[in-house]
Amino acid sequence: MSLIKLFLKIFTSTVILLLIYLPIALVILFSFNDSIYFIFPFKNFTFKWYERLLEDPLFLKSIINSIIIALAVSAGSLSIGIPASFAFVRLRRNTLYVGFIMIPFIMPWLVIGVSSLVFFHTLGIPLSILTTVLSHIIYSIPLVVLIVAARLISLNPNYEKASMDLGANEVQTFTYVTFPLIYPAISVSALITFLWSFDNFIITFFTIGSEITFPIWVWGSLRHPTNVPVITAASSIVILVGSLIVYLMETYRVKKGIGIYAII
Amino acid sequence: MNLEKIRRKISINLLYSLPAIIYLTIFFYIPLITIIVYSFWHGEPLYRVVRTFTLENYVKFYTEELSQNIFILTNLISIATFLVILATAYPIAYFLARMVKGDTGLKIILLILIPLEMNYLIRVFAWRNLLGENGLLNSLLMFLGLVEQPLTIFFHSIPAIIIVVLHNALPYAIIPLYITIRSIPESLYQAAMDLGSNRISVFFRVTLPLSMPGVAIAFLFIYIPMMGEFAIPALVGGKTYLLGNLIVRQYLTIGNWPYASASTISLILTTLIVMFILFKFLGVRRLYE
Repeated sequence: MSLIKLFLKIFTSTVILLLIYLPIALVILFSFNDSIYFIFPFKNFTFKWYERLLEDPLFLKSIINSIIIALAVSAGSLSIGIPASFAFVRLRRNTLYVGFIMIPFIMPWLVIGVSSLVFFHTLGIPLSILTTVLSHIIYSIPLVVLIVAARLISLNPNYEKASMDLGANEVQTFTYVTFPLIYPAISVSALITFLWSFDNFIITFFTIGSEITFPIWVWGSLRHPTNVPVITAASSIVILVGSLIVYLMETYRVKKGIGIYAII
Repeated sequence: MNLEKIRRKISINLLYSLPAIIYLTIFFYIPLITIIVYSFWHGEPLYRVVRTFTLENYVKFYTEELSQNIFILTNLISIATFLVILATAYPIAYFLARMVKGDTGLKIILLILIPLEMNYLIRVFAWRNLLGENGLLNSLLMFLGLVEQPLTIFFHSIPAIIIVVLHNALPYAIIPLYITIRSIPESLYQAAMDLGSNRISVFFRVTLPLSMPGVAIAFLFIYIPMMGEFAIPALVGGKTYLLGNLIVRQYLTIGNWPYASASTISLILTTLIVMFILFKFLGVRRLYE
């Protein structure tokens, strides 16, 4: 028994270190390396890739665009998704309804991307940041519904009943009882949709047109070998900021007891 | 009166979900119908479309050897990737769910999730440098004297795709497996032991069957994105050409939209059939109740 346990322990830690962390650690390490090649031995320590990065107007523009898109996606999908999750809780045994809301969630992103492309093209709408936002919201709605509905299901319905019994009307019950109880789920889904949209490449690739977002910038830069160290510098910044945000969010989530299931 | 009550309930729910229904209809279902319509039209390269009904795009997709092979290869790679990920994720999920006390398991899952915040293209790129001809792996193997020439099997190949997807998708397999294994009541294990099972038969008769919904969810999260993946094969796959690459090329480079739409519809149908089978036979629904 303890032998199996020991084996599993070693297996788990090896996989996490070698498979998950090693490639990322290497990216950060080589962002300080004074060479355009990604090979050992390590040359001199340098900050020049970071300087080069901050001078790149496209990079700054791509980050700003990505943030704008992600904010819009987050706001849009929350305002559509939160009301829908109330209905979702009551209709969750209705296969037709659940299927209607969840099918965008289980489609490969490629399908959302190409169908949006064809749709916008057919209507003659030029591709831009707006079309990217519209296509991102398709996937974000079921994401928000899953997270908020999971919280609503786990709520004790007696809170609402008690509030009604004590004389609150429906609006008051929502403002003073239901909303504070589901607030953690709402803030988590806001963050998750933001991060998802910021990171999405596949849908964006089809609907962004000639504009640029951060993943599109990375995709473009990957084709120029001389740009490789600049990408490592950009990635290091994004991963440090991103990890911090995710860490704070996840500890908040564990503290508030929001199902971890909701992340996927 | 009862009927009236039901009607009222439905109308409130309808009102709540009206924005979602309208939004998804306009921006998801109508575009889907658009590509279905396109797939029955006659198309030629450079975005020329003749609006006459024809089945030729589907006939071409399912009978031409090239697209047949791509379709089969994509399925095989997706399934192989799933099996590799499952073989890696199951022991980890089992360890975290059954052999770690308290919520330490959740904390370790958190540790696995955090680095995934980094853009996935960047992670693909990191692997490219690790597995490449002059990459770390090869220099290590040559330094140890295990090989004399740099190994090419890990670069621009199918194994490279599988390794990169393994890195990307591992948490999406670990989390559902962890949750299902964790939710198996301790009393079932004790009962099985009391009735004379040893650890191995407890695993095969209790743990494994009861964790099947988790396996199914993991399959869903790996197989379906993999069927539509085009960036990973393009970056590390070398000459590997998957269904996603075919669709992207037809839409953006060649410009035969009807044929591209027929390929996309075939992809959607495959996805839906797989979903249906999983929900019907593996009890995925149980997880949500």
